[in-house]
Amino acid sequence: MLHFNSITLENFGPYKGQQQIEFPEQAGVGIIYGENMRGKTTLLNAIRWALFGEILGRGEREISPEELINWESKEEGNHSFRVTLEFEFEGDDYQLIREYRPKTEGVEPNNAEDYTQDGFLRENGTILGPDEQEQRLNTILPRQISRFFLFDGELLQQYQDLLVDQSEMGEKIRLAIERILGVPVLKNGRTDLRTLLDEAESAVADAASKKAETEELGSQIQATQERVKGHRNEVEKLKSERGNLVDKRNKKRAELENIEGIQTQIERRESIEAEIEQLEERLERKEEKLEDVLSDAWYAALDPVLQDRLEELKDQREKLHQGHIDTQVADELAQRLETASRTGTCPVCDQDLEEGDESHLTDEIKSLRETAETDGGSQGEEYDDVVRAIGSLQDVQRTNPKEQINDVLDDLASIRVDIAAKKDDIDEINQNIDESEAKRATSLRKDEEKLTKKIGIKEDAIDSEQEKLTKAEENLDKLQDKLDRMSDGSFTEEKERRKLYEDLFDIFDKGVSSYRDELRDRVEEDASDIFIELTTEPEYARLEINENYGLTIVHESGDRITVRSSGAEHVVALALMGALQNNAPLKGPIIMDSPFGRLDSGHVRNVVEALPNLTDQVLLLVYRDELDQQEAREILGGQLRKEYSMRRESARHTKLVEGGEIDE
Amino acid sequence: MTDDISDIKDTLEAIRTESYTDLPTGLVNDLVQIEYDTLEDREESLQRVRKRVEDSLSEDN
Repeated sequence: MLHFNSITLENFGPYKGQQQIEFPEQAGVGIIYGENMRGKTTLLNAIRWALFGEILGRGEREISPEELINWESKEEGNHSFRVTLEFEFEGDDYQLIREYRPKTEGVEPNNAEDYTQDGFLRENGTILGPDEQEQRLNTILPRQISRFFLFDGELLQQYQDLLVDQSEMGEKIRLAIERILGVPVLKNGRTDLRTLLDEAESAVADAASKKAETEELGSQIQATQERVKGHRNEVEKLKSERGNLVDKRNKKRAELENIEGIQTQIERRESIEAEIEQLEERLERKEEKLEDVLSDAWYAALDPVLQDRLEELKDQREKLHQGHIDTQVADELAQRLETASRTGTCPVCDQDLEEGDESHLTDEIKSLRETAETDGGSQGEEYDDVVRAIGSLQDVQRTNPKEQINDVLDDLASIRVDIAAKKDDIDEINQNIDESEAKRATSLRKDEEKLTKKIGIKEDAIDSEQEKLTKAEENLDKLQDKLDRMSDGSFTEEKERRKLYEDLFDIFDKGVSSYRDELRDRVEEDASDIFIELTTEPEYARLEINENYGLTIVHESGDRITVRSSGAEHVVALALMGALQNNAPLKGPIIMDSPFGRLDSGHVRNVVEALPNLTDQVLLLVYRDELDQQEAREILGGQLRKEYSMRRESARHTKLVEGGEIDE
Repeated sequence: MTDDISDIKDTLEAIRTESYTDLPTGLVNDLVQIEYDTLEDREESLQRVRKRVEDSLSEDN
């Protein structure tokens, strides 16, 4: 088990001069209090740098070491820094020293090339060679799993990615989880046994090819083995190429995320540009329509003349209509008078006509008939002509495009206003974004799309090659069965060896999936227990694990809580950490930077209470509002082994002071 | 506390007792231990696995 004894910092970040933290020997919790910008994350980074020679900032961005030279000491002419970590591992004492200094003493460095970095590892007082040192550090705390021992709030947040299928970060963390849980022990064993099984199969084929009766079959097997090997290598090669492409794409995506704001603006600009394009198409169509309606525009010039003529015709139609009525009245009157003349009785008052009335009636009838004939002769035809003329003129009036022209002109004006407004929006976006960054984002997105296509092509090639490999393996099995039947009693030693490797390979192969399943069950159970201990919500019943080791909260009703607060995220992540520590073959110290930032006081209390059970050595880097000092002392009691505080000397100088007196 | 890989060994032992009873228990456990000890050195692990299996074959003969 790994146990840190001390860390000594020299001019690293805000830690000017030589400063040391001694970790307690006994199992328990140590707390270092420091307000923002005093150097809590830098202290965590100092440990990472000592162990792995690299420092990661926000978003896993690598920080250049020269950024970490203490500013004040740099101004005083000291351009180097050093971290010394002393620890024990499986009964051996180690001293790890990593140093960053100018290449040439006495010459002021200007950039990263002027510096050099050295690392030394002493094992029980003896300095190890570079290769041995690297191998030993990899065994003590492999970089891939360091995230489970040295972590901060940002890392805890990444555990949400484990719930997202196909998430790249999720896949990365899943592999790291399997690494800490020991799955590579089985996977590596399977690979080694595959190699040795291939050798044993070749040895059988080789022996067969040397005997006359099995010579041909032996040669066939050798050739098929070569084919299998070739396909296997090709599959591996393609997978590795796909992996490289995925890595490249991840980098592009990470860069894109870094310029996400610009990305959003570019997308908005593109969307507005598309809208403008549509409006311009509408504008074009309206202009074509205007051209059409203008071809009938000459009718508009006739409008006053047409109107005058129409009025005249309407007057004429009115007169003709009146004349027609007059004729009908004269005709009707003449008929009545004729009846009176014939019967000698007045048709109105029913009295007999007097003498002399008859000649008067005859004159009157004659006059009325003359009137009716004069007015009624050609009157009907003329009336019809006038009505037709009015209809024709009204048709011409209806064809007049004046109103249509006005409508189209209104539409055109409105579209032009819309286009102008959208162009203004684009101008505004252009002012807000740096054009070079925008171009970079566009280029990154294109690169990302190209890489996605290439990955797809690679995946198809892998499927095809895998199919060929399966067929070749089936063929090889058949040939080997045939050889076994033919060579009963021959090459016994080679066959025994092959059988042993076959069995061992099968056990490790089955072991990988079986162990994974068991692990998931155990991690789920342990994480649920820890979660119930940490959460303040009594209705939460357990956690449920997915293929990637992502954990979902399950309510006592059986419902899954798919949307959870950042505080709940944090508690679930801590429960996962605890479960991994319980189930990992490798145990070691846990150092947490600002782990309570998103937790309320109830959760903080529960987490602090649970800390001593996580692992033997826990170190917290916290700020005052995150963890109340008195409360921590009360909760931890004798389990609180040591307190330090970060005291401000200046903005560029922090002093580590033993004891918990917090710098106000 | 020494690093504990007994869970991995138990998993393989369960598979061995179910279907591969001809294989000696010690061999599978030893291979797991070799893989754990040489996790960061793949060449070394292959050599040691080969040697352990060859030793087992020699013992049988």
